[in-house]
Amino acid sequence: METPKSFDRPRLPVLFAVFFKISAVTVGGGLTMIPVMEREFLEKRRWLTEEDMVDTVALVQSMPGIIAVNMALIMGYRMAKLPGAFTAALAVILPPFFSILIIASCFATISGQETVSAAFRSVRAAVCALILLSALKLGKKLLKRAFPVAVAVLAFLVFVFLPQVNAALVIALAGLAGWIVRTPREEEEERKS
Amino acid sequence: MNVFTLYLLFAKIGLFTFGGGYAMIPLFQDELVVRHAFISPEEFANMVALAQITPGPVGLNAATYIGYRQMGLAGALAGTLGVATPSLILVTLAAVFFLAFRRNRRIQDILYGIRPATLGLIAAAVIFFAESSVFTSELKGLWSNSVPSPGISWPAVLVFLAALAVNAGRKKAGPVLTLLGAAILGGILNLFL
Repeated sequence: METPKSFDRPRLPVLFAVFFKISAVTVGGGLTMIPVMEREFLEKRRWLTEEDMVDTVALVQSMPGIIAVNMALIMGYRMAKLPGAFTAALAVILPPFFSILIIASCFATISGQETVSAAFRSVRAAVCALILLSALKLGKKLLKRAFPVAVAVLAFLVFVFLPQVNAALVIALAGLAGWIVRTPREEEEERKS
Repeated sequence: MNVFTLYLLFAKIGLFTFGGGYAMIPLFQDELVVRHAFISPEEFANMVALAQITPGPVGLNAATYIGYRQMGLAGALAGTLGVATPSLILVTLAAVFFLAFRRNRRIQDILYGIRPATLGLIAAAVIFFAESSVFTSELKGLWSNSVPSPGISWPAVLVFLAALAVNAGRKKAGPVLTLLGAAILGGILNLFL
């Protein structure tokens, strides 16, 4: 799937600037970046095709690591090969790096006050609600067969009740179980359609 | 612990996180809060909340922040590079062999096992956040005598329900507004309760 000739090839400094901007303005990272990227790369600059975008999103979700960095690597590669991939990844990493450095250096001074800690408890409660909603949404999509239900329940129980078990080990075993059980035929058809 | 072991630790977390964002929380918690006690559960929860209202992906923000708290600027660099390294290698390879990778049956089978385990991770993150917000101590206290029974923080329950309400419908408030609203609501409730 080569990039069609009618599509522009970005220059690296421009590529850097665009990914930097996207990373600096998207709060929360990951998949929230997709609509911004679509507008920037498809509509405004025509650096990618609709098909590139759909494939990238699918691929990114099957790779380990941070979604935003993965997206930058794949898109950067499709726009300008290896130099593009590394330029885009660096551009995505820099804005949060500096913003967190600033926050980390003032955070210690504001925490500890009573009102601040009450505010933070509320924020944690709200994060709890947000995570619950995203777990429910993902569950609705994934839990259609006995195997994924069993894996999800087992993994959950281990993470909560046996914290001494390494989480990475659980992920590796789940991957092994998938290798042994194999994706059901119907599931494969669903993914293709 | 030196800068290089810190780097390796974050690289391990990056390698075993699929789906990004919330699924990273138990992995971070496992390594950084439980195993190495770099950061208290409460500070970790605050940091995840902060990471959601500042630009950039949660995983990167967390790595930068914790690295900085451990070893200053060098630690921040080690954490950020560490968590991104597995992506830089694996995703770049995947970008090069784009289609071959996506259509590989065995890789899809492994992911068929990993995806529900990721859901288990996200569900475990809900418990972790509940323990530091809605409840006042670990839920373990319900069945173990060595830990005190958890109390309930009513202001946090209120904020939790409000956050669910504004994000469950078709029109969602989104993380930034929700968390800022929660902070303000929490501060106000603290004055009156």
